Order: sequence, then structure tokens, then C-alpha cells
Amino acid sequence: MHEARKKWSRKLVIFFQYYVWVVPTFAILGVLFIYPGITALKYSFMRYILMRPQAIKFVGLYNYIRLLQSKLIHNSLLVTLYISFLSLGILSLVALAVALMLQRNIKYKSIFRTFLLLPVLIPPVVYALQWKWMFVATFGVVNHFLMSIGVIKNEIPWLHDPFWAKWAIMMTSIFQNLPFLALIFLAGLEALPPDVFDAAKTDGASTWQSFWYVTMPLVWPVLIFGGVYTLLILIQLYGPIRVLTEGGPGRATQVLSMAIYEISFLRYQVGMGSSLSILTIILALPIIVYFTKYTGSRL
Amino acid sequence: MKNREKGEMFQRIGNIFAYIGLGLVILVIIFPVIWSFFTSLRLPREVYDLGWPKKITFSNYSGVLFHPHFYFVTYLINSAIITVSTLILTVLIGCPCSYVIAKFRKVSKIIAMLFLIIIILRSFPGLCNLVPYFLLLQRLRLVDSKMGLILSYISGNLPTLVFLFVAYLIGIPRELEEAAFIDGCSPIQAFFRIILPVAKPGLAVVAIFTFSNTWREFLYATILTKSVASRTLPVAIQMFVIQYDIAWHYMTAAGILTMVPAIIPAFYLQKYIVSGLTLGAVKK
Repeated sequence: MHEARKKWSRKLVIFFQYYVWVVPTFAILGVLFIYPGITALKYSFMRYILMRPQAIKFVGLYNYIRLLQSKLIHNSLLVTLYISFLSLGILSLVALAVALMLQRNIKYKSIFRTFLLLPVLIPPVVYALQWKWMFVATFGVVNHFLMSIGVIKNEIPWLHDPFWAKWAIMMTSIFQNLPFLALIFLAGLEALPPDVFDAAKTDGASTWQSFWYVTMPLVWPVLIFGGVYTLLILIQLYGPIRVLTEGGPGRATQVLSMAIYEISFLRYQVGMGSSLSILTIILALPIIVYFTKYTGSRL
Repeated sequence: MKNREKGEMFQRIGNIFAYIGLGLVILVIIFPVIWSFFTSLRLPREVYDLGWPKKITFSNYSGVLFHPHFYFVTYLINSAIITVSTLILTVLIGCPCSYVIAKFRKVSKIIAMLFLIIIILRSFPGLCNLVPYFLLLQRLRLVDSKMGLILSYISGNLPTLVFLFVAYLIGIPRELEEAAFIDGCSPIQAFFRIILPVAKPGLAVVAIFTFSNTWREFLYATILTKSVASRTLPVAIQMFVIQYDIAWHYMTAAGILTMVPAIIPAFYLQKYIVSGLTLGAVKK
């Protein structure tokens, strides 16, 4: 009895000395992050037009069924996957190459690193506008350059052609995210124990063999981590697309974020928008689970 | 002996390729910035020229800053107020929380669970919370106010900040803190006097990330701001394109002006940024 009380009073002391400190954080996250998330689930089953909050009506799965049948959503899902996975693939290869080059014993390493950091810090909207200026069809530097070296004969309508518009967006997001990914890969490479490579060398492995059979398996988890992290950024892409193409031409570059924007804030169907948000969470669920496992096991 | 010479030659050739490769990649990456900078220095009628600016002018910059219909300075002040408030509040709220999590996550089940929530929220796509968050702010009558935006940025940045700072604090030896307790420090004193001074580099990391994330944020800012009084720079600059039929000489100048505050502090603190990018991602 006495013992139990003592234990409780000790717990109370620890509570007031320490645990109180976590209260503000979780109060804020609860009210401003988790609570809205729960209301999204609620509204996703309702017909809710922004201007008429008095006419909210429960409609069950109607929103979800409409969304899953709608061409708009099919299109934006495909566009999102096309843009994010294709750029992720190219991005990973280039980033790995950059990381391997930076890992070499070269001079001016810190200068290279400094310049690489630049796009990490530039606001994406600004960087996208700067690219847009270069993609302008008639006076743009990109077309001018490609024509002067003879790669193309006619100007490419970068932002007004369904195919090239996707590539303009992908190039912009590739170059914006490349440094970040390359630096993560580099950190992974530098964290490898050097004696493994010495051992491989004494065993007579060629450079290629030691890269493929020693380096790659060891850095693989870091590569995957960096890739998934970038994917999380890419599937939410909004600013650069808004600036470069506004989802056009037509709906050729209308990604998920633009669809959520259009449904919720141009058509004011916030109930439908909430359902689409929930669908996006389901789409992102594997990423969230992976992240939780990866970082949870590392700390 | 011969083999070794051959190896050295390969090494050297590899290095030459590395210089060329890195140089090319960096050139492509920063070329848009340089090109924009050039354009911003040109006279309006020479905007479409190629090559170096013939005559350098700063009239575009003064034009953007003092344009009668484009309240650049107001937007700059809005962005500054919102970013600095978010930064200060997030650090003040998040850092003590990280300390408790780092200290008790192995002892207390509740704390361990709260940490799990932090990790989950950190990778939660902000896009999914946009609509419900807008509805909540509408009910609180905070749409189109700096306050509403600051609140959204605090809640958006907290998980990352707490996560990164916990990852940093875990690396600090416990003996330091125990010595403080033996000297009769209270937990609060120990945190502020012993832990924080040692954790300054970590603090720099999380501060830069919060600053940069807030300064550049676009999605929430477009939805949650409607008037000059609360609009931030990234939104304003994008409106330049739509409303004013892309005056590229102004646009590029405004872009450079928006970019500079985000870059200058970071150049001094670049080693912290690199370590922040990889904190909690790579085992050291």
C-alpha cells in the first residue's frame, strides 16, 4: 500500500517535471493536424458545398463512387504516377552518379557541394518560374540552345504540348530535387566501413565487381530511403505545375494536387475534395508505413 | 608495380570524368538562376536578348520594389512576419518536447507512442490535410489571416522539427546531463544550461529547415490567403505571371529578391544543412 503510493507520487513528480513539456506539441498537433484529418473522413461521406454549409447531407459512399468513376480522377492519377515515377527513376540514376563522383578523392569538393545545395534552398515556385522563362517557345534559351547545336529544327512548344509539358515539369522537379537525393546517397556511401573495400580489393575484385557486389548491397537501404522520400515530395507536386502549365494544356499535366484544388476550391465541392484527400492518403499509405518502419528501426 | 601504375592512371581518368560530370550537372542546375539574374539586369526592351546584358540596369529591381500596383514590400514583410513567428514558436514548443521524448522513449510506453505519432505525421502528405484544414480555419474565421497561416505552418513543421531534434539529442552522451543533476540542477535548468548549449548545431539544423520550409511554402499559402494583408511572396510572385501577362524583366527581379533571403543565411550554415538532410536517415 505504502509502496504503491510512493511509486505513484514518483510518477507524478516525473509527470510534472518532464511529461508536461510534450503537452503543447501534442495539443497543437491534435487540434490542427489530427482533428482536421478526422473531420476529412467525416466530410468524405457528405455532400458539402462550400457556400452552403447549412445544406450538408450524408450521402454514404456516393463521393467515393463518383470519384472512382470519374475521368478527371483517372487522368490525374495517371499523370501523377507518370510524372512522379519517371522523374524518380531518372533522378535516382543521376543522383547516384553525382554521389559516386563526389565520393572520389577530388579537389574543390566543398565548392561542388555548396553549388549543389543551392536548389535545395530556392523556393520551388521561384525555381519553376526561372525554368519557365527558359522554356518559353519563341524566345526561350532552351529552344535557342537546342536549335543552335542542331538537335532540333523547329521550336519545341514546351509548355503547350501535352507530351513536352510533362517533360518540362519533370525536368524542373528533377533538377530541384537532385541535390537533396545526391547528398543523401553520398552520406550513405560515406558511412560505409572502408575495410570492406580493402577486403574486396585483396580478393582481386575489379572496380565494377566491388561496386556491384559490395557497395550496392550495403547502400541499398539508403538508396530506397532517399527514393521514397523524394517520391513523397513528387506525388504532392503543386507549385511548379501551377507556375509552369496550370495543369494544361487541357488536362495533360493535371496532377492529384491540382484535382483536389479544382474540386474543392473552384467547384466548391469540399465533401468530394475530402474524399479525394482520403483516397490520396490511401495511395500514400505504403510510403507512410515504410517511413515509420525505416526511421523507427534506426532510432 | 605496373599494376599499381595502371590503377593510378585509371584513378586520374576517373577524376577527370568526375570534374566534367559534376561541372555539367551543376551548370544545368544553377543555369536558370544565372539566366534569370541576367534578365533581371536587362532593360525591358532587351529582355529577349541572349548573352551578357549589354547595359546593366537595376531599374527592374526598383520597379518591383516600388511598383504602385504590386505590393512587393508588403508581401516581403508578410513573409518575414509569418516565417519568423513560425520559426520562433515551433522551436520553443518543439525543442523541450524533443528532449523529453529523447530521454524517456525507452522508459515510458506513452512517450514511445507519442514518438511514433510524430514519425507517422512527419511522412504524412500535407496535401491530404488541405481541405479539412481550410474548413477548420473557416469555422475559426482565420482564413485570409497571417495567424491562420502561422498556425498551419507550426503544425506542419512540428513533426519534422521534433523528429530531427530527437535524432540529434540521442547522439548526446547522457553522462553530461547526469553530472548536472548531481550538481543539483532541476530538469528545466539541466535542459537549458547543459543540453541546449551542447545541442546548438542540432538547433541550427532544425531552425534552418523550419525557416526554409516556411519561406518557400506555396500550397497552403494559395488556399489560405486572399488579400494583400496576408499574402506571402511565393503566392504573390506567381500572381505576377497570371495578372500582369508575364513582364519577364519584373518577374525575374522579383524571383531573385524572393530567393536571396532563403539562400544567404544558409550559405553560412551549409554544413548543418547537409547533416540535417541525413539526420535520422543514415546510421553514423
